[in-house]
Amino acid sequence: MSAEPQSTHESEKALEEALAERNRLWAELNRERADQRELEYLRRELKMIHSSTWWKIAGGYGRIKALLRAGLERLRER
Amino acid sequence: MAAVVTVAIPVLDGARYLDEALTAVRGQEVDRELEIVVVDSGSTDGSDEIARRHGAIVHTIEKHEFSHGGTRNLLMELASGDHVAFITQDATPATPRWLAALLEGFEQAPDVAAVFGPHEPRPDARHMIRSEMARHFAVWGDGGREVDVHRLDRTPAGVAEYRDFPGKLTFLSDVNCCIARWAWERVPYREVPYAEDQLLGRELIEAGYAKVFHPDARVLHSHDYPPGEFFKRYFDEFRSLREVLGHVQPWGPKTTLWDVRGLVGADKRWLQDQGVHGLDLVPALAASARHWTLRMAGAIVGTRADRIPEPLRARLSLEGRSSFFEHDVPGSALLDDDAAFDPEWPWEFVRREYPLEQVKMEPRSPRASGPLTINWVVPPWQIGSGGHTTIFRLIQQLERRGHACAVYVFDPFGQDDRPGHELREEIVERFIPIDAPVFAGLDDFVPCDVAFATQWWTAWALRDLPGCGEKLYLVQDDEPRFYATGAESIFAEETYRMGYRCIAYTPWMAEILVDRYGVESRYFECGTDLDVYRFAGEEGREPGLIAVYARRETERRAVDLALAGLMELVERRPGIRVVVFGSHQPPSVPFPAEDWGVRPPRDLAALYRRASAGVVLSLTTHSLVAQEMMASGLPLVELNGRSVTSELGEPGKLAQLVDPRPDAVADGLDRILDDRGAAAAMARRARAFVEERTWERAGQQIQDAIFDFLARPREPFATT
Repeated sequence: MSAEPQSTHESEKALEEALAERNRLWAELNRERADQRELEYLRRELKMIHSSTWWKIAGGYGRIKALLRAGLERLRER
Repeated sequence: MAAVVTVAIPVLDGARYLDEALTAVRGQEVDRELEIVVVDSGSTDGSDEIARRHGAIVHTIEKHEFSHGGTRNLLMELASGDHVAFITQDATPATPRWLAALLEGFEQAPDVAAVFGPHEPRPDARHMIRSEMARHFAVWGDGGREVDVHRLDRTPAGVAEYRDFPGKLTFLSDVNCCIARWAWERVPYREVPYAEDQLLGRELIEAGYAKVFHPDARVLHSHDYPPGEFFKRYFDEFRSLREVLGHVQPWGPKTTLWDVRGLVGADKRWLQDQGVHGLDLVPALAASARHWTLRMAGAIVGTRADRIPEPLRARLSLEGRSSFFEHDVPGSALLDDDAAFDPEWPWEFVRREYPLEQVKMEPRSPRASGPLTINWVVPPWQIGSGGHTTIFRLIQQLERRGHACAVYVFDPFGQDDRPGHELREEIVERFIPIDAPVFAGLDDFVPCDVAFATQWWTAWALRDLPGCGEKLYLVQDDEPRFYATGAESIFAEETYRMGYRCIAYTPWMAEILVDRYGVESRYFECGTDLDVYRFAGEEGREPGLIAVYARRETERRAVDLALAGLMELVERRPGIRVVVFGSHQPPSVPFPAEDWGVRPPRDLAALYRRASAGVVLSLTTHSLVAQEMMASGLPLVELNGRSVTSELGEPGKLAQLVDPRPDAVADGLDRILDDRGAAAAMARRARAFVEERTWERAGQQIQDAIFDFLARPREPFATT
């Protein structure tokens, strides 16, 4: 006699759980998408920095410094 | 009888390739009757005989009668086909499907006026020519691989794109193209000696017709000359562009060097793709550098040929032509540099949504429980925005009830260019901690159970977004009334007629929506952060200190009315001290006052606990700041209007409610300052009132309203 309400109750509970799981997945998907956008943004920023004149100057300076250091090392080794 | 397609060729001494070209034309696999029409302008190399041998209809004109535009109009007149394919005497269809591909282009849409295809270099062409052709035709059809239909997008953004790179739409080369007769009858070739195809392409596109690129409609066609002759050819070509289209090649040591460098770099990449590396690149790139320098020189000098003496012009020209004549060709209004045009005209987001339609939603089954997925479309904000504080509080409340939210910042006016993660950081640090991710713009909008518009711009943006089971409108104020009668008040008011179901802040706003617009509406009442705005009694309050909410950014706060009232009070009671706050704008106060600008809630709470009276004027829905003052035990002066009394009851019960006059504001403050006992009692009643209005209650009201709407099918919308 009480089988039907019990079954309705269980179905409702199952539905709630399914909806909660769907919400969790929806939120996770959104967070992943937001992370993806952040990553894209940071990559763009990085590219902009790398293509800036200042970076090129500083990067060139860094390479010269590394070359000099390597040269000095070799001289010292001799 | 099968329909006719015509292949039309203007000829002058073209025997070198004409036989090859006409053989390839005759070999076309096409399900129409093929007609070849040639106009010969005085060949002496037997070109006319070659044409006749291939069954062409040959029409002869005098050499001086020839012009690229005029002669092609003549060819169109002589042709009997509904579609006329143009090639030149040195262009050979590359495959038997060339003509079929051109005709296929017209099947893409009924408004296709012209179809064109790529040119392939002849086997003897050098790498610069090959590389340039590959780059040129890769502009269309996803790198030159797909059929590509072009039309002019007349939105501000579309026109801006067109002005940036018109050639992407206007390019048409009658070395290899096909014209629909109906289109030519409306937009014929201009009777110009050169650049007739570019002009036709532009006029067809600007007349609103479509143009198609078909990658299979290929012809073999390239020119190769010794370097000096290349210069002369480019001189001729660019002189013509100046004469007909008014083009002047920009130049300058840096610009030109940069251009040449770019072209050589492009050749280098092309050569590397062809497997040329290392030292093998050196001679090739040296040839490239010479070629592109000569081309630039030809372009710069050619487009300034009017400044060169005639004899020199003739010597610089491959044709030996000494003339320079600027043709009177109608300019393009769309490409006019002097045209008044704002590509970032911000109201396009409204304009494109007319004629007015109802909100678009997905079918869904009724539902009155269970966690929901909720998208919020919000406008950009400033720190201190009460409207946004409310939105983020409500999001937090719904998240606490198990609903998943996402926030989309719709910014049609480009007020905030920060990315989503930075916007989110600001919400969490400067407003309210929420879990929802934040996206800049609507590109990432995903399907959801419920989507909220939260301000009138956002209602326009959300109206047609797909994938929403229900669309609701969080109406915090009567926004059309924020504006003087004009476009903005009309655009704002239209959002109440879009069929959104509304959840309004205050019963007053809900009444307006129901009574004036026939909108289904529920309401909520804002909470107050009682942990921050703690109650303080009379003890510790500074006599004569008045806190005035003077947010000039919002007209409805009637800041100058408040200041006029305070000026009156200063004259009556010289000892009072005034603190104005809430605005990013510089203060303009008619008496010495302290300007706090925008301060964090804890500072304001301390002010409210110390002051003896507060002033917040609300011409529309009453301000959250008023509630925060009430929570802090600060006796308040507000305006006596329906929007306020619907919440705060009769004057003197919870606040001094005054008429919108300076003397009435001063009277209200006088009453508070004179009778501290009555003011304190009023403040205690106000605190009790605010204590009932928690954010939990507001969140529950919103959730109840959502489920109430979701459980019931939509009522037919009144369109009055």
